Amino acid sequence: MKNLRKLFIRTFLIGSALLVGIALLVIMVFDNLNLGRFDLTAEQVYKLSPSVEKILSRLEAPIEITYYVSSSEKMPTKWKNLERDVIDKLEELKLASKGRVTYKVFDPSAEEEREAFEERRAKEKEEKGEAAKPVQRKRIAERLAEKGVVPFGVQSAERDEFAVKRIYSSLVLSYLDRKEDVIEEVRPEMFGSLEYEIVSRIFKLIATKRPKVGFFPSQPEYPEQYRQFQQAPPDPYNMAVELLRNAGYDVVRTNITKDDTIPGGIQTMVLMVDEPLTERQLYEIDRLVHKGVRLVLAGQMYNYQIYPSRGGAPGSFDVQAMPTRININGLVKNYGFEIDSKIFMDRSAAFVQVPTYRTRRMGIFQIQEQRYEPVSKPVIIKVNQENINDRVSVANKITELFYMYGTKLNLFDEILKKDNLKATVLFTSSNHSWTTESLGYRPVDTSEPASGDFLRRQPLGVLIEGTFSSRYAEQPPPKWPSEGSGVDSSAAPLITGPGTPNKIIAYGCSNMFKDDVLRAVDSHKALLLNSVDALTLGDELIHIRAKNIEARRIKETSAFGKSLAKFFVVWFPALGFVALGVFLTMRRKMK
Amino acid sequence: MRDVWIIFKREFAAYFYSPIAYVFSIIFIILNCGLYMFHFFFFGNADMRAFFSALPVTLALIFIPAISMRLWSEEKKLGTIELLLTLPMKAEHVVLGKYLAGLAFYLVALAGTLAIPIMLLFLGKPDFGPIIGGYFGSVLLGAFYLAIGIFISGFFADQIVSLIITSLVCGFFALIGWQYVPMVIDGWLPGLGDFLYSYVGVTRHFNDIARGVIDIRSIVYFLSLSALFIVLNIKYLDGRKY
Repeated sequence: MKNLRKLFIRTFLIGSALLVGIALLVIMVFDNLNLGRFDLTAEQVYKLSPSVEKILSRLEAPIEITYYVSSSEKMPTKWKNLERDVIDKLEELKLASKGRVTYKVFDPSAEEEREAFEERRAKEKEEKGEAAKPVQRKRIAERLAEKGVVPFGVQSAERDEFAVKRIYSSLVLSYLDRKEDVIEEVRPEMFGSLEYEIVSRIFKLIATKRPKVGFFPSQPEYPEQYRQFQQAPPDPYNMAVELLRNAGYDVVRTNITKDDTIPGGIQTMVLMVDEPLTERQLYEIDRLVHKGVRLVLAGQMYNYQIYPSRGGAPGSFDVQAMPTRININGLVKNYGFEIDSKIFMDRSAAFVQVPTYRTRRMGIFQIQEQRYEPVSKPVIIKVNQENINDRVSVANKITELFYMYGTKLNLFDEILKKDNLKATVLFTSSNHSWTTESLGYRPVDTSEPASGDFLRRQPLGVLIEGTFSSRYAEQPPPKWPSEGSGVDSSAAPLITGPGTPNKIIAYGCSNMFKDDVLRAVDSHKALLLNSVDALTLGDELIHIRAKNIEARRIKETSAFGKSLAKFFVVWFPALGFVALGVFLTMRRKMK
Repeated sequence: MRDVWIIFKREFAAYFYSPIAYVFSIIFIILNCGLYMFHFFFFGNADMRAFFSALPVTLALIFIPAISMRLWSEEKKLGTIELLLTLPMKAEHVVLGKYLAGLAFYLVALAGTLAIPIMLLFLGKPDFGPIIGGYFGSVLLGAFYLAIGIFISGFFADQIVSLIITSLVCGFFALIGWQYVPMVIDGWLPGLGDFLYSYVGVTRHFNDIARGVIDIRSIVYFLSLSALFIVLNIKYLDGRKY
């Protein structure tokens, strides 16, 4: 019996090792096969959009995608899935394109190691006099850098300390004789938008030219006081412009002046209006709309200064309105809407950091300390998910917006109906908003009105489609400010004939797209890109963008609601098990 | 399969004859749901990512070992294992019966967390794809850990020892799926950490499923390793006849 037991133990151990090996072999084999997967997400985030096949069907020649990626051995653990995931996506694109999209994977790190080895060997031979000096050739790193493929650093752990590894993870798209397009730094966190990134590049590659977009205002010029210090003036929309350029647009900025006219050949014009426009500028914009150039218009009616209350309670803050006196409404009324001229406030408000100063005594000295306090005022409007129209592609996957000091839009139903214009609201305020008149330099009264006086869901962003009436039709153009005032009677009218069907996207807030806000809120970047893409490239591409993974927020919940939710989730099921135990115990005892 | 059903009924009922089952279930719910609710209103997201991200660890270190520790250890302690093995039942039927009973009990406890998606339905618009994927992954994960637990339980007569060893082994499978442990292993033995992460670690596959993507490869992973430990348990018990 003892011998049998020993034999069993030995047999069991050997058999166990074999079974473990077989199991691992099965896992390894299947891990390298793409057997498909089922995407259960509501937006089919991990599945190709139907629009992709439509776009790829327009390919006249194969597109080759090269994925430059370091081997998984060199990747940090968090990144080890990335190569497989990207390759899976490329494989799906290949299948969807019926072979028009091809891909290959290349490890530059391995090539670098091979180069280093060959260099060492060549040097050894040269020292021995066995071979002539080889012809110098650019290294792989240099050649890739010329394409725009460069390694970047990611954090990893080596033994008991953290380190930074330099890895490759970039996609290069080649099509016919076009300039190669590079998607730099493909990271795990951007996988959700990778399909859009690839297909949008393909979309632009197959276009005969880069989409051209005009942007107003232009880069600020050096005022006199800046020139002597050689200090660049602040450009509040620099990030917005760079964002569009990085998205593949040929962005040309303009101040719409005689010397800086609207560029020709643009498909879309982005207008950030936070200052009054001249009559000629309004005319030029109207002319653009008349001939079919799409318009993204963001107007800022007010800005605000928030400061500690003078004579008020400690910790309280006042709000002072500073009107921008923009005059765009004289034009856009013809298009069926206007930016309301009153101060707009909403109970759904966000926080901003306001600097405060305090004097503190240190011995015989007094020092002034600056600190930042979070302040929430109803003029700092926060648009929540439930107020965003998720059925419209422009607003897809934008879960919240910070409508910084923005104003509501008014729609004119009679004009919309008369001109057969279609208005689609993109997002609105909450059910608790209100307006008030500006009172000059006096602090704004930010207290809430009576409950019955709240405004419900006021439009803050709209898309209007149709043929717009021109304010300046059949009229001679106004003079440029440098030419004086009045109209240029000698010039022939530039706006004649029927207008071209067009689209306008309007927002009552341009602060959303300024650098300091755009840097902090990704939703605003998506909103800007969505808007330009929708007007310039069409809805096909927008539907692909909808695959970006965004958080879904819960609605506002009262303290009682929170307590009830916690009880329901934590204690109610637990009490259920207690009740079950008592019931079963009593039943057993009765038996 | 009648024998499997007989063993299943006996084992499943035995869970509820003892207060341990209720204590386990209540602690399981309070700990996992409490952790989730602790930050829920602070972040305000209508999803269960936080819940599922903690599950590979909590299941590995506490809950599955607590379920599986009695499956064979108690039989050994009470001396009833010999009786079971001498009954006219195949070892695989006995093992499967016990395994399925443990799995069923785990599912009952897991069902107690369904209050979370119900709450999310009232408070927001959750995407049920990742939630369904998360629960599906939780079932596969629990099944895998339970297979490990029942296998280890067969070696020891002491339930506490069985619990500790199971916690260590399941914890190993969970931790090598996290990003830092394989990094450290790779630092010492290049390639080993990567191998363990890619083909052995459980967290990678679970996270894939929990985000709403049911990949056939992940299913193959869970089924292969679960089957491995169940078969090993069967073979070991078969050998106890000698």
